[in-house]
Amino acid sequence: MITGLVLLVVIGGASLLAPFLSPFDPLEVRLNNRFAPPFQRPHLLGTDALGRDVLSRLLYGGRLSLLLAVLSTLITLSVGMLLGMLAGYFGGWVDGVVSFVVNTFLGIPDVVFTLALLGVLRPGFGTLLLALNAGSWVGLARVARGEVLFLRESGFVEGARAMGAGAWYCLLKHILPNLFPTMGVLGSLRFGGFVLELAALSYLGIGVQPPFPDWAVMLNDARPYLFTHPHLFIFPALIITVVILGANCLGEGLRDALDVRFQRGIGES
Amino acid sequence: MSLLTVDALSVSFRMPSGTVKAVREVSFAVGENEVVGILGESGCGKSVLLTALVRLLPSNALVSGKVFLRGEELLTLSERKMERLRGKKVGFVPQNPGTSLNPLLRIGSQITEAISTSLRRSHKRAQAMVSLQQFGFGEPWVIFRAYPHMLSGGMQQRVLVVAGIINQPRLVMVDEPTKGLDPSLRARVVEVFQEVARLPNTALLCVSHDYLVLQRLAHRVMVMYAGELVEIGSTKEVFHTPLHPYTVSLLWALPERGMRPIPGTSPSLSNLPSGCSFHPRCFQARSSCSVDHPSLQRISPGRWVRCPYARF
Amino acid sequence: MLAFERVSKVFEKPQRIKALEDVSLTLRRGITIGLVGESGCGKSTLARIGVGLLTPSSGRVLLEGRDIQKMQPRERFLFHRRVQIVFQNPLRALNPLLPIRESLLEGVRLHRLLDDKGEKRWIRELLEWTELDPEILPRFPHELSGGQIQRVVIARVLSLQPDFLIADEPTSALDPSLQSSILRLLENWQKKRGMGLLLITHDFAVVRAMAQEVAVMEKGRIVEYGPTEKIFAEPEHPYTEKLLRDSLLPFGLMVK
Repeated sequence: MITGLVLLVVIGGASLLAPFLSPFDPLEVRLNNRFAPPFQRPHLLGTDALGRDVLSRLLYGGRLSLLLAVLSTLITLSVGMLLGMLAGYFGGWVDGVVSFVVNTFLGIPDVVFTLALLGVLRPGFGTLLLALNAGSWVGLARVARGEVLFLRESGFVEGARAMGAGAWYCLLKHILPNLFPTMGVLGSLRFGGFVLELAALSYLGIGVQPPFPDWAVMLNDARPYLFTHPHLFIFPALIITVVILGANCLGEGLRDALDVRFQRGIGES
Repeated sequence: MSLLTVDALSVSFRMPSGTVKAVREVSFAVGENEVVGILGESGCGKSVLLTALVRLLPSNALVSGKVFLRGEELLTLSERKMERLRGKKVGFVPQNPGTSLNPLLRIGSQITEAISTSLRRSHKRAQAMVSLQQFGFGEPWVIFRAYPHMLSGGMQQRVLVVAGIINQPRLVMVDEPTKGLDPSLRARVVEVFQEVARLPNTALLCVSHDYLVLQRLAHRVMVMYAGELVEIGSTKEVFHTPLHPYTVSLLWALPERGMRPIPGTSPSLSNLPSGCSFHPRCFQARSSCSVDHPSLQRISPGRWVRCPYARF
Repeated sequence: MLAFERVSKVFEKPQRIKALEDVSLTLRRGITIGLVGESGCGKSTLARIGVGLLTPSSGRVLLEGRDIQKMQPRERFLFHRRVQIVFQNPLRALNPLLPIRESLLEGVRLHRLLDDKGEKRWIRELLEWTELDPEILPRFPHELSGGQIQRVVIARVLSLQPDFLIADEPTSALDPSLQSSILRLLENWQKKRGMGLLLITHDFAVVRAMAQEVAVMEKGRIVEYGPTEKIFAEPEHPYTEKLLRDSLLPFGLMVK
């Protein structure tokens, strides 16, 4: 878990501080210095087909996708948790409506939906945000609803109700905090998923648009030179992998750490 | 030769918080056709003792001592030979039905799977049904086809009992057979175990905190506290004239005998009191009790107490 | 007085089950009534109806003559302070994310009964009463033993100083010595505060030791009711006799 956290923080930090860390302007084209090989000064990771510094582009590359992924995760978590809580706690028609929407969305293949949206609307930050999130909150809502159903029957929730606590008190004080562990795990894993999804879209050209030095865009640019100048492909691919790996480590680590908390010791003898 | 002989059995666990001494130098014997009860509360090590006898302890357990089943040393047996013993010569009915039943298999197949003889499937089914009915299931065919989660905790417990005794093993070890059951079910379970005990060549080792169950079932009772045996005797002796202060206090705590709570709490097995393990809670503790660790003393044949000041 | 007046409860989902039928019972302050019956006879349902967690399909629950269903929100809030419940030993009896101190004070804070200094004093008193070590206050539920948790749960409930307590099998899964200390706790508290106690249990020995009156429940109906000693000496209903037989108690051996 710590590994994951460290990886993400480092990469996230680097992306944030890119303007200060980057040795060159990532967009600056220098046609007299194309395909410079890596591990040489001054371009530590070489240059690409248009002479742009690879290291600088890597540093800037994450900014957009990471931002989108973080925002998407937050939105998905919020919407999913809220609807899951309402459906799980109140039941009745609220549950009926939410479950109906959830089941409908579950029936639509994620990819198709995303591509359709992107096809109809013009590519842009807002569109991407919408496309990523439109279907993803559904899975989380379902999990959240299940957790809430279980928590609602817990001794401490019933106890609070027997003391006269109202629905919102129970939801905010007892149920919501107990949802965080599971949602945190799912959220981390989802984050990795978003990064991957966005990378795929950008690679295909319908995500982040060039000349923005997004990692996946760099991958796409490097395609023709895969065998002649592999470093142009390898570095961005590596970074994307590390980010997703980090997110997964964080998610799994969180899950392991939280499991211990909720289990009772060795058991009675 | 007795059926089961346990000689100075000790079990400890090495945990990050320290060494937990769950069982300390326990020695006893169970004869053919005998029913022996172990009376003890949570945390005294009784479940660990049973688990050690069938060698189903987790890997961080440290075991020492000897266990003989009809002369055969159990602790040094190969795992394969041990497997052949389990379920056939030695039956084990564990405490936690929730974790002992496979949630993905129907009850019926879990019971018939436990049957070791090579009978036709229909015969095994019939056998299972008979056993289920014996244990109070009015409609055994329904249970047969059901999955564990459809049954209540009490019913799951009874299913485990059926699976444990279906091969009519020579030695049946039972861990808290009546925990959480209401009186009617408890009475039923007691009846069936009485029948099991009456079967030829069957011995029963029953661990429970419920003295009423042991009173009905057991010929002999051993009282366990903080990993040790503190009193041994016939059922009548132990319950009518208890000698060890813990046994006395335990009986006084019963609602039908005054409901007097025992002061303090049972000791942590990783941090045992000095001297006699019971002394902090004992109503007749003397100064020497916190220093000397008493050994089991023989009062008369078959009657032992681990207390130098036990009243006579 | 807390009264159940001809309470019935029918559950529709997942199947139609008649959990309670025409149950009438009156709980008075200072008295303990034992409610005995087998698992699944409806005792827990009655308990939940008694504290307002469930509504009866027909019949009423009355506190000092007032129907709780018809109470205004403020009155109903007060009702929840005066009538409390202890459950059997449910999964997650305490919020795993809250330290014990917070769980203990929840009721008091919800009803705004004490200020900071009062809280400190009250916690100290509560811990003494329930024989709990103050060192558990900053700890979390997963660090406590089963017996400690049940004591905390009871302390939590008693912190509201209810006039009526419904205890639903509070000690069924516990060892004998633990059971006796918790039952004594309830008994002492009752004597001190004049609390009315409805003790739901399947253990006749407990009933005999604690309750002045006994109600026997079979499949949602009360089949016999009377003073404890009479029920033991001359049970009238065959179901009562069966329960007494099953309890394996050696009669004649009841030393007070």
